[in-house]
Amino acid sequence: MFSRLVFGKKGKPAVLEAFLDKSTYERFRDYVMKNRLSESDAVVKILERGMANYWLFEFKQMKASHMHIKKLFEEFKKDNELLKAMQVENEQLKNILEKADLKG
Amino acid sequence: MKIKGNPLHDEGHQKRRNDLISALEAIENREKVHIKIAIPYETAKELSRFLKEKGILESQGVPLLIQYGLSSESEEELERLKREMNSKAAQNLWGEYAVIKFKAYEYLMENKAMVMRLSNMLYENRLLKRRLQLKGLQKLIPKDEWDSWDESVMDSYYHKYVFGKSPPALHGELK
Repeated sequence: MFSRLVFGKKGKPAVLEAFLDKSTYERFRDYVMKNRLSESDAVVKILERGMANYWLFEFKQMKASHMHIKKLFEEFKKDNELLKAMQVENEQLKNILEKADLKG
Repeated sequence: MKIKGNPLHDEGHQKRRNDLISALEAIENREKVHIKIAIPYETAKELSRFLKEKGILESQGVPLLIQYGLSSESEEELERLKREMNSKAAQNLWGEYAVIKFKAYEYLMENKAMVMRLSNMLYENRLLKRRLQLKGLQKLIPKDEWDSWDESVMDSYYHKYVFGKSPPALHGELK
């Protein structure tokens, strides 16, 4: 139950199985209708476009993800500093108390 | 007692792991539309080679390439994106992205470990401050952001780092 390519005999058509989000499937249906292509011809053209521009789309995704990750990074860093400060403070307070105990 | 072989690599473990992955993929795919289309041998070969070169699994790569192939960018937009991608700034962005992603992950894991001990840490902090107060050392007691933390603050940390999701909406308000 996952997307895959199933090869038969060498040189014979292969079977492409894919699980698509509903919105992607609807865009696929629209593409087939709009361009008056068979599903097979349409999926070949779509895959060729996807492969040809793979790095461009990856770049676009990376730019969007970069903003999100940057925000998370700042948030995690702030939390990290706060949590570490609590740990350090606990050690400092223990030291103060130990010294106070020694003084009696 | 010696244990022969790695239990994580035995056949039974691998089978259970594969069964689990298949089950999870099946659940994920339940909401999706299944297409099954015959494509020319050459295209299938090219696709297979492409995915191998990029190190992408077929199960992820096939829907991804279909999604990319169907994207609405015009040729002009793709050309502009291409120019941008080839710029010096974009090269730096890839590097910065990789570093920031790695660092964010490091913080995430470190914070997770600390949050697991957070209630103990906070309890200890309050106890130490109380002891200082009892000894008449009020001047040495620092004022901290966490002095006012209650269950809801602790819960939000647990949700963020241990359960990896936002806390449930409070009073019908989405966070």
